[in-house]
Amino acid sequence: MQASIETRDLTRRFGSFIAVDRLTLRVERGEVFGFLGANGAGKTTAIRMLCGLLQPSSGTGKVAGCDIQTETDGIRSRIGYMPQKFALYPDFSVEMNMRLYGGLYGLKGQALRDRMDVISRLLNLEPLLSQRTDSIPWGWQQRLNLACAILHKPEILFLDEPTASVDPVSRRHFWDIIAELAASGTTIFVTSHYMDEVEYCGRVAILVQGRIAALDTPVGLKTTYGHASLGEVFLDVVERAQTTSSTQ
Amino acid sequence: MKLFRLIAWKEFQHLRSDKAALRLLFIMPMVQLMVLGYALTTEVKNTPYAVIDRCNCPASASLLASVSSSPLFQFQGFAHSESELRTWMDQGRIRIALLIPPDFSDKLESRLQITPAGLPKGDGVPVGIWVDGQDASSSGTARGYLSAILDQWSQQRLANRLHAQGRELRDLLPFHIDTRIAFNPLLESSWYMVPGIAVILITMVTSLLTGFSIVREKEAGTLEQLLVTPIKPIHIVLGKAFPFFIIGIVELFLALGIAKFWFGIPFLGNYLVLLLFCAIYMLSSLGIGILTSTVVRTMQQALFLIWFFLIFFLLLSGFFLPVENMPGWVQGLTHINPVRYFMQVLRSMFLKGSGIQDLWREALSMLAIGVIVFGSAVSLFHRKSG
Repeated sequence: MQASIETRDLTRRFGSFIAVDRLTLRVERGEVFGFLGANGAGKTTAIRMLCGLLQPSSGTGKVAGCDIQTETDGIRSRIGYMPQKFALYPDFSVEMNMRLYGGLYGLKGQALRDRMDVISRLLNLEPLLSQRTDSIPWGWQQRLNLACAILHKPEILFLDEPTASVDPVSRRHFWDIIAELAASGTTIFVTSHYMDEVEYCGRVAILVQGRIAALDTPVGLKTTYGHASLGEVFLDVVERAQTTSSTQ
Repeated sequence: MKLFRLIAWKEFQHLRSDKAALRLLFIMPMVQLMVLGYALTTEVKNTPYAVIDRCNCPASASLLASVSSSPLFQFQGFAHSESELRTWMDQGRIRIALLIPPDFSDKLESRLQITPAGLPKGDGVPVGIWVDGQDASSSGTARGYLSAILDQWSQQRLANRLHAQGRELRDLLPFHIDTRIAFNPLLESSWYMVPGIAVILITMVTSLLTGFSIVREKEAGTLEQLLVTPIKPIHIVLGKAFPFFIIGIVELFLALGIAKFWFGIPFLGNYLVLLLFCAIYMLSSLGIGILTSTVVRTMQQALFLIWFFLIFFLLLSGFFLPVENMPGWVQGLTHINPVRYFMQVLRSMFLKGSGIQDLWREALSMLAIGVIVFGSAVSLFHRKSG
């Protein structure tokens, strides 16, 4: 079976700084894949390359069967992307933002209306539809951002630190929806530095200085490194990777 | 095409949701036009002046009366010494001064001793003019006006004397001047300036707003969110420029209305031709906005960069200062200045009623500049947005 995301030696340099270093990974369809790393570890750079927003310096990659260097158009219609920072229009109503993004993904007429109904019900956005986006609370704005990213039923959903500064209840609800999407066959690729968030993932890659330092299921990681929590595993992995790189 | 329309729709919604900004967008330029239409005048009126009259005789009184009766000058007082005059000039109380010597009356009389047989005796009367030369252009004009008034007064004296002897001065003069003024018979400054201000307003509104609207999305991260959808960068940029294109045209016609009905400036050109020229011109002004937005990251940088260009474009457009007065190499530079062409187009469409047959060179120049600026702006945006 074809993988949802597959990369080989994917590298991105900015001048002499190597943000992502020979990234090789394979994510299956319907998997929830976590990308764990400290700030500046290269998470966002990697996700931007996979979304076709940034060209790699070297290496290859395929997302939803499309080459990330030559077939970015194909990628864009097959993925949904939710950036770290809220990136919808604050002066629009919730509904207008959804209509705009549905339209950008080629949805129109009855199909668009149906999809908007389904998604706003799924995310409980119905009572907010006519409100200005900047007047609703932050957690709901994040939910709207998610709504706009999944209107077109993407094959893969990229989430860049999706629940940063969201309260625990909203976060829990958010992950319930993610689990639902994954169950229906959507691949989820999520970056984070929240340990409890990563517990929801099927597999987790720990990124240190642009390289994958460890990759396994959350349970597998805890067993291998002999720690009770992913937080301890993470610190351990980062420490070991830095020791190796400084002895090199 | 469908996605271009979607972005244009989105931009109009942004404008609609910010009612205050939308009102400002139309009211502010119009207020500016109305105020500046009066303020930006090349006429030199009410120049403050002072006099040292050392003769204090009927002749000097008559001479001074001819100056003070002119609306061009405003009398500030008699000075008693040159140092007092100098103080007034230092303080900025006066811009020009007239000095009449003690022997004014005597010398004038001997100068006017004309008989049918002989020429006048003695030298001409020295009358002094002092000028504050800081503002070279308007001081020069004021000096010219003052000399003309004095010349006219002395000619009148001469004519009176000749008339008493049965001769007429105008028969003795080698020529007399007959002036006809085309296009702006009353030489109203506003007839020339208002169309120029309209050009500046349209240029500012379209280039700044287009640049801002792109940079704002860059800053907010919404541009990236757009770029990750299937839309092509070219649709984004065209969709974003389109509403400002419409606004530019609306503002032009509003300015035209104010020029016509408020200032009473005739518009003799054809409206459709004007629309065509305006559309060609806006390729450049919108292009400058887009081009800037591709190379900067913040609104501050965008504002600074666009202003930097606009200052050059406006001052080298012939708006205040005729291009013909500039040094040769600067004149060469103005050939790549789109504002210069549109300034010329709008002014001559207004007052001369020029059409395509008169202005096709300007139109082609604007088109060439517009295609290059807009084309490279769009392609740079496309390249930078991957």
